[in-house]
Amino acid sequence: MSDPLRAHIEIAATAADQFMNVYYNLHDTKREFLGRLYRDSSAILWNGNAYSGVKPFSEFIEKLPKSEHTVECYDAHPLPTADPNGAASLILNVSGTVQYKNEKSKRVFSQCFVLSMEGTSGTFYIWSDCFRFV
Amino acid sequence: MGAEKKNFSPYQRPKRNNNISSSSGAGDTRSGAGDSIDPTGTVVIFVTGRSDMPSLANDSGLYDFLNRKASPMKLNITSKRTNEMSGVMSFVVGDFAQARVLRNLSGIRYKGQKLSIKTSVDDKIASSTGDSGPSQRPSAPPSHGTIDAMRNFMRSRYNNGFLNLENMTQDSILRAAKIIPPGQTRGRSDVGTVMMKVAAELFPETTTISFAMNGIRSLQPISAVSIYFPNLQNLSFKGNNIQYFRDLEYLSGKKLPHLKELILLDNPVRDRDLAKNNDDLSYRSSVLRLFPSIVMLDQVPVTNKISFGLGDILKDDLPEHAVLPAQIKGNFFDNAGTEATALEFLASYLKLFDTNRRSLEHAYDMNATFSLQTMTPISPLQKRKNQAADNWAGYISHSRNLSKIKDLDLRVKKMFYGSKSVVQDGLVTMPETKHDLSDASKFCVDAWQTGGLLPGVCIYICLHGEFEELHHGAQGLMKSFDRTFIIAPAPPGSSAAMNGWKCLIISDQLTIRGYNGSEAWQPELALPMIAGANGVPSAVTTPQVPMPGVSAEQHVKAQELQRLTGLNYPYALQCLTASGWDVAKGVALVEGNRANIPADAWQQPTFS
Repeated sequence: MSDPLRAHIEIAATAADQFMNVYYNLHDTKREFLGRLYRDSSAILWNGNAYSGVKPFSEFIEKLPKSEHTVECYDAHPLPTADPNGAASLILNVSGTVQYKNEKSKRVFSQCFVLSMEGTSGTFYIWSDCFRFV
Repeated sequence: MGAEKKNFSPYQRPKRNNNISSSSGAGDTRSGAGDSIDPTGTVVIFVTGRSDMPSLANDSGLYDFLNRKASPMKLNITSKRTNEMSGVMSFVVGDFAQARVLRNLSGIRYKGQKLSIKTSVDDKIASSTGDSGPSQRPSAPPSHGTIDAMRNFMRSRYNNGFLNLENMTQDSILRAAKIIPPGQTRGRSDVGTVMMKVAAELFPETTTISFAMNGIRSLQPISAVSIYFPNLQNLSFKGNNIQYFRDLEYLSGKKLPHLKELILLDNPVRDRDLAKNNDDLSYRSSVLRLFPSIVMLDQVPVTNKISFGLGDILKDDLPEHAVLPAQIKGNFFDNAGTEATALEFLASYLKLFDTNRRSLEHAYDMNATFSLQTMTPISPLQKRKNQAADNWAGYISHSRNLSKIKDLDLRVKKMFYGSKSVVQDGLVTMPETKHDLSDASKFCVDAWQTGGLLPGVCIYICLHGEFEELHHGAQGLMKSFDRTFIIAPAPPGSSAAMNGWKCLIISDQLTIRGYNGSEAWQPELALPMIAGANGVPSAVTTPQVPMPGVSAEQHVKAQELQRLTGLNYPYALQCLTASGWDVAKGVALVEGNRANIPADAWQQPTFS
């Protein structure tokens, strides 16, 4: 028999795989589009700074120096949903290094995303994002 | 047909007889693949793996692997070289045919890496229509009679965008012309390529091809589909003999970027996986990884098709800035309630994690999830101190790094589910630890609470810090870690509540890395003030209970300094650390340095 947990793990892990193909590539090469992954309701933290709304966060993120992220590892869990028939969601933790232009050394970063599906559309967006240099 | 007037032949160079073996084409004036080869009749092959994976340099197993894959073609490999810096391996094989077989293996997976294989004769291989079938050498080019028969065959099989190439062995036109269809062991290796070329000449608007019922074991014989029908949308291999996922790789990835539908029903690769797992999740997941563009697999829609709503993205330039536009701040809490709850939870949890892990079973929800991953490269601090890389043996078997663990069964197995499994299969099997909770600066906590996504209101906690790894109680190495908890209020009467836990863990993810200290999250107190540069101010509130590592007395002093100076809690703690926990000295320090204290050091309205 098909195991619902297995199905949830498959969706969460596959969504995480595909998100990883997109997020840092956008951040490093097409940053002006990164905001499309967020919503105004998203909870966003960057090294202890809270951002409310896509626009303020996009303005901030575009001010960051040109970056090159190298992801070393990531892991994702499916999350139980408020509505069993509702949207899928997952928590994703990513670790790696980032090299900013004009900085000598790479920084190590840890970033935790909660991704949620919009309805049952298959389109995931960032429900929350907590980024830290570590 | 215009093609006839052009004296069409699928072989662009009719005189080439393909027997380009070790004797080379020296002395032969043909313009074909043969004379691209240098006078010794050799070909150079470059094999590169992914740059972000372990280098394949000096991996002698790779040669055995390539030999197996090229079989029955025997490779005559000489002059092996490896560039340690780039990780590119190069070697020389005996002739063009060997090079071509290897070139066609490009994209194959070895030890989790996709190999990119290039040769010094790539352009000749591309312009040669001879297929790479290792078992047979293409013999003389097909005659005009053969080509005409193939055209007639295609015409009989085409209707309105659909090319029906099902059950070709039983086809009377092909049998009469003694054409053995692709995938049959006794046929010409290039028949699939010739067929696709003929079909594309006649019916370039083809959107659908069915190769059902042809006994095909691998897509290699018909891999030319992607060359001649790059816009193909629907493809069926129903009722063939495809055994392994790797046999699909000849058309996978971006080779058919517009492919929407794929049918693999009644093939061993599907049947076996379904029988093994009692479901098709693993099978579908593997196929979708190979063919990411499809929306329909085996006549069932691809559910939960994942996208990020980006549409097409064209621009490619970025503004350039040299300094970071926001300052690094210490702990973040959205309100005092979150702070008190999160810190109390962490203090209790980490203490028991060090001293009595089994008892933590009460702290996890019955549906809790836990997994850990390791970030194995040496940290910048370790590099600065010339330290050796860590030994990850104590964790690696559990590590659920999804960038490496692609198999669904392993992904399931390495995520511990339910309080009992989390603790007994996960936590207690890890090396013993000691978290130094007496020093708050060694930890960084971001926590906020929200409802709406999970049932009820939860607190999300992102903790960063360090622990000492103990071996049978003896002092061990320091490790850095990142840990994310989602916690919810413990229901009254639950085993958590009865064991003193106010909160219950829903999800727990742990990342362990090489020791990198705690510099990264120390607030940038020394930097000049950048007023208003930080967007919405963060909430910095005073916890009701001391943070881990802050004694009750120090907590009272911090509150006193806050009252006297207007500093917020983290900065008050920092200031007191600098002034030896003397409140009067702390006040003097603040008054003497007001101009240098950043805007976010002062008490601010709460962020909501």
